[in-house]
Parts: sequence; C-alpha cells; structure tokens
Amino acid sequence: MRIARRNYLCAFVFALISLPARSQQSAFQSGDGQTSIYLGTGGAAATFNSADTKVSIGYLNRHSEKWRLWGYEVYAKASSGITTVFSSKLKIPEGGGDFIFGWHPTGSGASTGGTGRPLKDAEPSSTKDQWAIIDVGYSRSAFYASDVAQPPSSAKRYFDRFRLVGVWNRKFSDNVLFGFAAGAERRNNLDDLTPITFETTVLSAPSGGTTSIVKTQAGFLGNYREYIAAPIYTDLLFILPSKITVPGFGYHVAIDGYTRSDVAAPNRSADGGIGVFLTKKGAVTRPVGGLSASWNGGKVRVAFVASYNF
Amino acid sequence: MATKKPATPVVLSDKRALTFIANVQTPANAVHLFLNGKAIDMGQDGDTWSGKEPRAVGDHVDILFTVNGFDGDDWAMTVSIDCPDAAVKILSKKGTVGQPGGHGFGKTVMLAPDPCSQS
Repeated sequence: MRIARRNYLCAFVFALISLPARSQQSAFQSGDGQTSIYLGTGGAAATFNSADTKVSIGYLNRHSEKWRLWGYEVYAKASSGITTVFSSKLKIPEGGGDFIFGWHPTGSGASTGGTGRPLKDAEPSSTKDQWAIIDVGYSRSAFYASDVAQPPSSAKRYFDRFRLVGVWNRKFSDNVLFGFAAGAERRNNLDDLTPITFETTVLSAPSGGTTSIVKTQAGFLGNYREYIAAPIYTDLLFILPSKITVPGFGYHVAIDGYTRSDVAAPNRSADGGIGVFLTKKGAVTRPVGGLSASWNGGKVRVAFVASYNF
Repeated sequence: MATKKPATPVVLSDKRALTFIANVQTPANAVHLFLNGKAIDMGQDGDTWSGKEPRAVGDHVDILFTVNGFDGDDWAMTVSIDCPDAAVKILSKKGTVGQPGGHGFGKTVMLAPDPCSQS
C-alpha cells in the first residue's frame, strides 16, 4: 500500500515537472517552510527542509514593461521519505495551490533610475527595486488524530487550509533585500499534539501464545482544533559580496535574518531566526542549501533546507 | 517684394521598418531594453526574457540595456533582426551585476543597408 502511494506521488511529481513552470516563493525559508521573500524567477522547484519535502510547480506571467504580474503554483508535500532522517516529527501528506497577483513597478527598477525616462550611458542605473504580491492559497491534508483510544477509521480527519497573504519585497541595494508578509491563514494545532501509533489487533494471540498481529497507523494524540492565524513574517536577506565564494564550488553566500509571528489570540507566538545559505554561482538568489536556526521561548530549532530548480 | 521659394519635396525620413528580437538570460529581478529610446516589452519565462517588436531605424540603432539584480547575478543578452531566413544577430553581450558595467550598457550599432542579406 505504501509502495503504491509512493508510485502515485512519483507519477504526480513527474507530471508536474513536465509542465512549463515557475515557482513563486523563494527557498530562503525558515525550518517550517515559511518565507516572505517572493522572487518569482525560479523554475519548477523541489524544496526540502527538516519540516517537510515540498515539490512545487507553477506559472508566472510577467513582462519587463508591465506593472502587473500574476501566476500560480501547485504543490505536494510528502508524508514520509528522507525528511524522517532529520526530524522525528510526523509528516502528513498535503496538496494544494496558490494564486498570486502583484505589482512590480517598471520605473523603480534599473530602467530609468527613477527619472521616468531611459538612462543615458553616463548615468548610474538604480540598484533599488520593489514589488508587492497578494497570495491566495488552498491546500488539503489528511491525518489521524484523537484524544481517546478508538479505531483509526474513526480518527481520520481532513483539514482544509486557506490563506490570504499580502507581501512586500524591497531591494535596497545589490546586496540587501527586505521581505514583509502579513495575512490570515486557517491552521490546526497538529504541532502541539503528541505523535502516536494507533494499533488495531487483527489476530489475537492464541491461548497460551504471546504473539498477536496488529495493524498500525501513525497519528496524533490530543485535543485537535482548528483556528484562524494572523501570520506576520519578515526577512532581511544579505547577499555577501560576490567575490566571497566557497572554494572549489564557487557558491555564493546569503544570510537571512527572519521573524515568524502569529498575532492572533489565543495562539500568539513570535519566532526569530537566522539562516545561512549557499547559492548558485551566477544566480545568487537561488539557494542550493542552507541551515536555519530559530528561537522560540528559549527553544532552539535547527533545520536543513535544500532546493533544486528544474 | 520677397519672392516665394518654390516648394521642394521634403524627405520626412530615410528610415526603414525592421523587426528586432531581444533575448536575455539572467536570474536578475528586472531587465529593460531600449531601442532608440523606446522600451521593448519582454516576457519572462524563468531566467529567459524575450521580446520582438518593429522599429523604424536609419543606418543605426541606439541600444540601452539595464539590469537590476543582486551582486553576482550573471546576464547574457542578444539583439537580432528578424529576417525571412534566419535572425541576424547585431549585438551580443554578457556581464555580471556588481562588476564594472554589470548594470547594463549603452551602445550604438551601425546597420547594414540590407541587414537580412547577411542571413
């Protein structure tokens, strides 16, 4: 059954990557896969971090001389796989999509240096830029959660996640990018529940015997609930000067200082963290991998993040 | 009494209409290309930006190319003339943001009387 599910996932992934594709969110992510940096120039992407493995594909409609842009992204998250090597957290399968539309002022970029006309040769072009995006998303996941002992079939639940997030990215120079995202998202409290295993006895041990046959199902124990969160994310990305590279590989280095907050009661929280990423030679906003460490209430969480653009 | 000069035919322009093809490869966040001061609208497909527009030009075309990217982003651009048989490349250039000339350049390219004869 597990093999069949994996084959289905592989087929889905290969079907996705055969499409013309551009992902929207960057791979400058915290360990929970969140970011406020939307670069919109990457190809179809596979992003792996300690929290999940996500394969995404999308389309971006953008023109150099038009302010408006729009696009979409569909993604799938694995329920298992190599992420379990790095984290004992139970992963649940999730699939969904995002639609984005936004504004990227052509006059704020290098074209006019803010003068409103083409630059002459001697004039320095602007290194500043900015763009704003609205991200509307939906995803669905399935899992098993209960606060009492009961058969897995009775504990199975589906969760519909909705999100509406506004994003603003501001490029201050060739080395500094600021990202801000705020919105609303329907979430659940699975992170607060205890990972457990449901066991259903299929064949009881014969009298005098000690061996029985049980069927197991991974799930969660606790009082499951859903709520509306008000996430506010910020990222301050520093691209180190391009002459600083990793010897032998040529990778550039980027440092992402971030905050991840939820300002809605009763799940108000605030995380802070820092990520160090290696990025592609010649494409400094394309991370190939990185480490991200976050702090929340004295607890430190370290996550490994890797990305591959098809 | 002033005599009125006979009207002479005025040549408004010795320009011809050529279709230019622009192609840029870069991960930068914004690129812009101007031919004779007017921007060519290029559509983005991942790291590829491309556009195709006609221009009335004389014996030369002024090309202005600008890139807004991050320190270390590479770019490569070409401008070609669309001809019946094959496009004729008139300019090709590479650079890296953060290096001298890495944010773009301006250049005047002289055009042959019949650019398509070179295809």
